[in-house]
Amino acid sequence: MNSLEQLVSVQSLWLVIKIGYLIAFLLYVLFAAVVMAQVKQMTKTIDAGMNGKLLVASRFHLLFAVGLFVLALVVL
Amino acid sequence: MSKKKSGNTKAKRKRREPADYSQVVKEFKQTNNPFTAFSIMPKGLSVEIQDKNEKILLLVRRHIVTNLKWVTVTVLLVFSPLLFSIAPFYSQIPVNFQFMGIVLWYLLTLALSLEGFLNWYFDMFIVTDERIIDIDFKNLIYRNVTSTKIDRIEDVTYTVSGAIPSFMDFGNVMIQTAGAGMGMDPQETSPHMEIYDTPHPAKVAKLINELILEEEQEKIEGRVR
Repeated sequence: MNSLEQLVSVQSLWLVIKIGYLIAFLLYVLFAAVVMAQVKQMTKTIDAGMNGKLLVASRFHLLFAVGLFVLALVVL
Repeated sequence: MSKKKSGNTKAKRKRREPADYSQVVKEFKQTNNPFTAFSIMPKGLSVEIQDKNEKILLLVRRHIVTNLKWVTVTVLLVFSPLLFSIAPFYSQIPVNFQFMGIVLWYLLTLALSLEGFLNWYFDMFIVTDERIIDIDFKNLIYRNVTSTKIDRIEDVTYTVSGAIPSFMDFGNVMIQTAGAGMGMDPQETSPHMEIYDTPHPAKVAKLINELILEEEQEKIEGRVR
């Protein structure tokens, strides 16, 4: 195997890892969306005095997850 | 004269305040803490299925000690990246992959702690002067809300088992109810609600018993809301 082939195989290895990273970040975005939906549902079911704060926190958390996914796209 | 008499009867038939018939309500002070695991007459709490005049007497979550498991795991996960640099192959990983790997690690830690907190915060048991409401929030994709009228409760038992529960005063309360199964499980033959790891289980059972007695008294005296 010459050095060019070695380089290509190393490059493709990191490409696979990059895709793995991106899938993981995407799954986190889905998780954050589920958290937001559940918090919204639960705050409809019960108001335990923290509803406003929890809703804001869950929305911020989703935005944060999307931001990190974009960061991963840029950095990797 | 007859007008006065009818007025008196009306006054007698008025619904009593919880503090008038419940020792448990008298014993504990109200709290504003939204993260409490045991709250008598919680301020600012309301439930979707609650009636207009229905009063919430008790809010119970699992004892705070039960959070220790996920908190410990979270703390361990927070400090674990310090050990990454010891791994022999770590220096060969490109810096951007190292950085995003650590970000991903902390995201997973955040996910774990968030799920642990939400499971604890939303999994609650509520006692009103009319019914008991059990909100099961097992995980992010499963929740079950069950309610039973006080007059359908047949038996209340509580169990405190183990050294830590005995020391910290928490345990399980089992509420046996009359009639057909309440849950979604068709295999369920004995309709019941079970509250796990509740603080002061004896007080919870006592409050429910006080409510059963009050409900019976209301029926005898013909008191209505």
